[in-house]
Order: sequence, then C-alpha cells, then structure tokens
Amino acid sequence: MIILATGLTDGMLIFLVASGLTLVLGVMRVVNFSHGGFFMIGAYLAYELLRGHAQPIWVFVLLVIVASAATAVVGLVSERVLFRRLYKLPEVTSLLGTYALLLILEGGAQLIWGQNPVTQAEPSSLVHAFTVAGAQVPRYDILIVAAGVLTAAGLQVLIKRTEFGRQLTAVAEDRFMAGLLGVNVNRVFAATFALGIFLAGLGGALAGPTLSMVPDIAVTFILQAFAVVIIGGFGSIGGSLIAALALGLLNSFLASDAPSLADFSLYILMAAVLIVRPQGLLGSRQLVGEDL
Amino acid sequence: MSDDLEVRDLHAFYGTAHVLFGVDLTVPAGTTTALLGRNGAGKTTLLRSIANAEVKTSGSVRYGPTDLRALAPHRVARAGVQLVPEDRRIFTRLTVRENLRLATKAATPDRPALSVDRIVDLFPLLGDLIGRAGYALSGGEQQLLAIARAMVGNPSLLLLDEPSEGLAPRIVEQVGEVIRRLQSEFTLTVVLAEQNSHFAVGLADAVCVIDDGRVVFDGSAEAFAAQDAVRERYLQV
Repeated sequence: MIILATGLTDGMLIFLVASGLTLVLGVMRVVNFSHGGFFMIGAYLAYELLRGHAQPIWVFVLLVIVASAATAVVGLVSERVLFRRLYKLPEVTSLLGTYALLLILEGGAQLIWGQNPVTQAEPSSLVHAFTVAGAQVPRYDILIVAAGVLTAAGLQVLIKRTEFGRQLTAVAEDRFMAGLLGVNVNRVFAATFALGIFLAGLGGALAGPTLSMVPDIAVTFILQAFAVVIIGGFGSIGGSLIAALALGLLNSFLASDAPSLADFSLYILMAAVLIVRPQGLLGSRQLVGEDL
Repeated sequence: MSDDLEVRDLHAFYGTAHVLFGVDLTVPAGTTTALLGRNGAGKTTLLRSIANAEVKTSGSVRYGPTDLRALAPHRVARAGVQLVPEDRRIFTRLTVRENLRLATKAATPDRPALSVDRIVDLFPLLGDLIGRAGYALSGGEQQLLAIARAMVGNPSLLLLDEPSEGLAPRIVEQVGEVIRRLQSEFTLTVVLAEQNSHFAVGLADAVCVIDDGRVVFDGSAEAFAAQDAVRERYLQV
C-alpha cells in the first residue's frame, strides 16, 4: 500500500512537470530544456513565500499558487525575450537556446539561494500520516495526488471545451492557417507557454516539501519529465499522465523489491514502450489537442 | 463598405529566390479577377503576398486605405481579407463546427461573423457533416469547408487558390455554384487563382495572366476570350 501511495505521488509530481513540457512541445514545437529550471524556480519561490515553516493548509495552497503564477511571469518574460526568436529557427539552435536558459536559471538560483540545501516544511495539518489498509500514508501525498488529478481534468476541459482550447489545437496543427483565420498566434504561444511554465512552477512548489532543495533539482527532475513525454507520446497530455503514473509506480516497486534496478526504471520503461510503440503510448504524428 | 485592391510594383521572395517581379494588379471593389498561369508561374505567391502570409515582399499592396504589407496575418484577416489556400488546410483534429467557430476570430464589430446556421444555409452539404472531424472529410468536402470557413469572418476580399484542383468535375461544378452564390449575396471582391481557365473565366469579370512572376495579360474577361495567342503561349501545358 505504501509503495502504491509513494508511486502515485511521485508519478503525479512528474506528470505536473511533464504536462507543461508536452504542451509547449506540442503547440510550439520547441523542446524546452529550461523547463526543469522553472520547476526549480517554483520550488524556491514557494520556499521564499512560505519561509520554510509549516503553514496552515489554506495558506500553503494559496502561496503555492502565487509561487506558480510568479514562475509563469518569469516564463512569460523569457518567452518574450528568448523563445519568440526560437520558433522559426532550426531545432539545434532552439535546443542550445533553451539549454542556455537552463544554465542561466540555475546560475541565478545559486546566486540568490546558494548551493546549500534548504528545506520547506509540509503544511501543519498534513504533517502526520494516516492509515490505509494497515499502511501509513503521508497526508501530504494526498494533496499532491489531488493537485495532479485536478490539473489533468482542468487541462482536458480547457483543451476540449473552451475557445482557447480550440485555438491551441488549431495553432498546434497549423499555425499558418490559424493566423490566416484571424487567430493571434503569438498570443496563443505566449498563453500556452505561461500555462506550461505555471505547471512547472506548480510541480516545483508542491515538490518542495518532499525534496532537499538545491539548484541542481532543475536537471534531475527534467530527465524524468522528458522520459515521460517520450513514453506518453509527444504533445499528448493523457499519454503523459499514464506514463508518469507508470514510471512513479515502477520506481516505487523496484525501490522496495529490487533496489539495484530502481535507478534503471526510467530506461526500462522507455525501452519497453519505444520498442512496441515508437510514437509513444498515445502519440500520433500530430501533436496536442487529442485525448486524455 | 468595400474597397479596391491595388497591387503596385510587387516583388516577392522566398529566402533568396526572387519569385514575383514588379506585379501590378487592380481589382475594383465587388468584382472578380481570374488569376491564370501555369504551375509555378507565381499565382500562389501573389495571393500569399496580398495576405502578407510568410512571403517577403517589396512594393505596395493596398486594400482601400489599408496597407496590408504592414499587418500581421491575423490583422490582415481582421481587415476583411481571407485567403483560402490551395491545400485547404482544414484542422483535422477539430470538427467541421469547430473549424467554423475558430474562424469567428476574423470578424470585427463592423463586420460581424456569420452564424453557423447562415453558413449551413449557404453550404447545405456542411449541415450533415457538422459534427464530423476534419480528417474524415473528402477532398470536395474539405474544399467547401475551406471556403465556408473563410466566409465565417464575413470578409470583403476573398483570395481563392485553385479551388478546383484535384476535384472531380461534378464537385468542381458545385464549388463554382457556391462561388457564384457568394458573389450574388455578398459584396465580395474576389481573386480566383486557377489553372482551370475555363472554370475561372466563367466566374470572373477580369483576367490577369502571369508567367514567370510577371503580368503578361491584364484585361476584361471578354478581351481575354479574343486573345488566342495569350492562351496558347501562357496557359497550354
């Protein structure tokens, strides 16, 4: 039971990060290496706002959302300054550009917060574990799983049921035609990017209490998020959700039953899926807007 | 309200390739000009240049008082200009209805969008397909949807790029009837690029022939009918 809970929680955190990554990739066709940097910024901003202490849950949730929104603002600035110039450039250039941004974000975090780990306490009312089927499940895990479920459902509604979702789907498929029909493509890009970075920030802010925060978390987490995007299929939110949960659970099972294999779970899953379905679980030649 | 389209000394480039060489074209408000020429003559480039869509240009493209070259593509759309590209470019993941609703972004307060009901009245065939995904449409259905989608924003200038291409003769006839109906029910200025000169001239007031990026004939549809030499030299394949 505890293995299941840990796996689900880890999976949901990875999903939050991967969903933003896959959204940006699907709509703008930019592989954003700096995504993990925004995850890290979200974690540190939440730490600044919460000051590391345990807070009542509503204060915690509110400040986590504020931290995510602030991360999205940093994201919007970088979209304006950097990404807008990358959309039309070859992939190699945009890879280098976003990697450079990752280094800048990490360097900035080191200047502000230093190399020494800092920790954020869980919300005061969620410190204790409770018992499910005889196992002790940390209450904080429930918050993370709830956030993941809400995010997945929210994205589904946003993409399938709203005017913005229609524009996003259209721009993802054919930005040229969307522009001819009067859609302001740059604005859709900016909004999509802000949303993606908000999700990265949210992942970071929620992961804060489960990590010891150092600027390096920008890199460690992004690797799993990329694997999830590949396993789930480029641009597929639903695929990311399934892949993230599968990865979280596999990690968790291997860590308890075959610890020597746990570090390889990422590669085991990726290899297995890519051999059977090279386009990813729910991937297709086209990107974003489908399924969940 | 409607305006003349005036193209003056237009040069167009894709990267370093120079494609149009000083094109002049005037399309009076409310009239249709057939734009003829062989494959590769520059018809698509001319239409894209007018819509300022991913072509580098010099010269001038004015639609009434508006300098279209100064506008981003979505602003060109909101100025009442709609380009229906040759490959139709239906959004395959969206339904017919969603394709139509997306196009309301091109409307403005003075040019309100046409309702889906009005569109279905103009394009009855789409009524039966309204919930179908774009990828499930036939070529003819896609062409009708592409024209219908352009009409949603209630444009005053319609740029049609080879609407008959790849369609069966019976479907081409249907597309022709649709264009005729739009001409009679709306005050539309139309540039109709075609390789099928018979189809295009039948719908047009004037004809412009281009070859290798230059205008080689510009006159009324009647004058064009008398120009056997032009037809033979520039349009025979």
